[in-house]
Amino acid sequence: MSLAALPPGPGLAAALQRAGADHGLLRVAAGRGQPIAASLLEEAAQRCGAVLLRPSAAEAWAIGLPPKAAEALCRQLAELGLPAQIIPAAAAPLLSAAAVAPARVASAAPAPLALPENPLPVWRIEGGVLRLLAQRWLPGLPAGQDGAAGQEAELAAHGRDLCAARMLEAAQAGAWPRGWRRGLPLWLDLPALPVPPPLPAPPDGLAGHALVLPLCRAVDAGLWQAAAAAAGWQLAWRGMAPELAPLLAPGRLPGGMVLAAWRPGLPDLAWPAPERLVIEALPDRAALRPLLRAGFALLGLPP
Amino acid sequence: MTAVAPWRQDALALAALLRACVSEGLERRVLHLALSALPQALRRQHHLRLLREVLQPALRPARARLFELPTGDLLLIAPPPASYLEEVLADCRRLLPESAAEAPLCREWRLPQQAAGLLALLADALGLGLPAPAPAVADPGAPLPPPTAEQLQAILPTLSRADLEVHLRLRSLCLIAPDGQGSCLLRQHHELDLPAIAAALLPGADPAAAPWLARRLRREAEQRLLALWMGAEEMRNFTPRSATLLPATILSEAFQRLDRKLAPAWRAAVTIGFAFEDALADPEAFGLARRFLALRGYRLMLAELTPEQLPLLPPDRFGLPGLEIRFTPDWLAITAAQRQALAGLLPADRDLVSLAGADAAAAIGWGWERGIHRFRGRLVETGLSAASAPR
Repeated sequence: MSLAALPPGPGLAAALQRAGADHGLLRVAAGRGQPIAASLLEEAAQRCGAVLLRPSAAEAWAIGLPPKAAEALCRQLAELGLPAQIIPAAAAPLLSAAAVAPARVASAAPAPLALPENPLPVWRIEGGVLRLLAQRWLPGLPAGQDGAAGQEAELAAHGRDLCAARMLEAAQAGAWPRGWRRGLPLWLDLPALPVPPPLPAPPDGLAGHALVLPLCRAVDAGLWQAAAAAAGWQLAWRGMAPELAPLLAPGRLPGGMVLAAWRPGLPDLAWPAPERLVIEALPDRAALRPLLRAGFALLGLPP
Repeated sequence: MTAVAPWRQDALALAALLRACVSEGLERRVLHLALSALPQALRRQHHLRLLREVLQPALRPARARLFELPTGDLLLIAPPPASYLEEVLADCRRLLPESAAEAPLCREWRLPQQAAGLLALLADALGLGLPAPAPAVADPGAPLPPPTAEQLQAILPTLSRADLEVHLRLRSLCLIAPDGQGSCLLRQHHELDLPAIAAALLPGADPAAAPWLARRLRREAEQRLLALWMGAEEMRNFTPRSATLLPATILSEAFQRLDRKLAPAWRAAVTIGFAFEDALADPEAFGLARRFLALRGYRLMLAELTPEQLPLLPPDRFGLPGLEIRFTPDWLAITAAQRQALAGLLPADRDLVSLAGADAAAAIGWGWERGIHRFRGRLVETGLSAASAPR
């Protein structure tokens, strides 16, 4: 069967009619992995004479895959970390009504982010009690909560960098965020710059304030550590992810805390040093318990 | 018959001896008299004659050999234990002034462990040393400003249709064994001249100052590289190749199109390298790209390894089987801890390791000392025989 990008609706119904009763619909919406997922679906569809539908840029369906082929493909996608669903033929027509509008990648430049007034609290949980450890001054919201979905990842990150650059300018002029509580360590997110910029002195001369650097600058960690120490700051790293977990082996990454965005399944991973890891962007309270059981005690949460 | 300068014969014989020591694991003690560094006042004939006389007893047992470099430096090479060298060394030190400079006038080397250092010395003496760092571009006054997102977006449509062939450099990866056997071309590394592309599209701006915009630009350019690979002619004569790409490029439609066109055997002839910094900057794309490439049968390597990255890397290199080291003179001066970290990082199968930046003999010698036989760089390009064909 030809690989027509049929419009959802009548096209879908016709394709389902042609497919056998036991042939379901394999649906995958894999975010950034979508080109990979769609390509694997197309290959399988071509091999088995199934139909490929792309109701939107964010979703692809293969209709009429033999059950065994569908299961094998599902397994392969799961190995890659791409979520796929097999929907029985009987339930499939409902989907045609729900076919989403194309999720267009924003082509406009990111709107400038406002200079944040309130740094986010960083908590340590000890014996079920929340203790305020520090405040983090960061552009926008933590990764994963910034609503930048649909925008190209690089441009969204650049937008955050521009805001972080303005925060740095404000800090150099001695203007600290209004919501900062004196006496608490302040963690200041720096933009992703190739070399250290001129650094301001920390707000009140107390120790414990930290500059938060993107993890990719760890390749010249020595340079940054020297610059930060000379200006009276400690270092922390943001952007840790399960893919890089072995990097946290004790002693490998210089400096103090390491920040990682919450991901499903994160508590089940063997992190070498959970006590250094600050988990940010928790989706809800229910996600908290498994984290605590796994030994994570540091959380970056909205108040 | 043309008279050959004695030092030229010496240099050739010395190079051959160094190669033999590495390939056969022969141990030698080497005494180096840096006469070229001798203060002018002491460089008189009778002084130099005295020094040579000191060396004479060592040459009498016949197994030691004396080499003279074009700079006038002397190298005495003897099989161990050569206990007489201690006496010679003491005599030389007595005759030579205490050197205030960092490099002593008289020092001992060990072969085969320090072959790279001696090769570098030889290359320097022959005027073939590591190239001096490229002269900085004429100071433009103030550093260039970063481009804006709007500027970048204005040129992306142009770039997405551009033919980048003129900006594509092919660098040969060659097998070069110490015994000189079986040298051949293994694959070509495809490298875009990104600074030239950026300078053409965004004149007056420095993309490096806005790293995420630079990555967006690079991703678009890399997709054009993949488009070149998919040209009809290129597909007909598909040759083994490698490229260092952004993880996000693997996730692009352009790579997926290429993937569907490549037969499994051809995928195995493609080696994709990821730089450590790029993996750290985008772990999600890195993880997905790594799993996808492995599933589809491509070869993978950690690329552009530099000494500063050694302490950060886990021994399994994040699951990337291959490793490409970018050679710089810094590698000659790594600390014992860094050497140990490197030893832990090198895949046991040295066929998976390659050395980029092989611009001078020192790089090749340094690689040989670590069992690395795969090189690319200026020296490889110039020495490449046109007759060798990809394996």
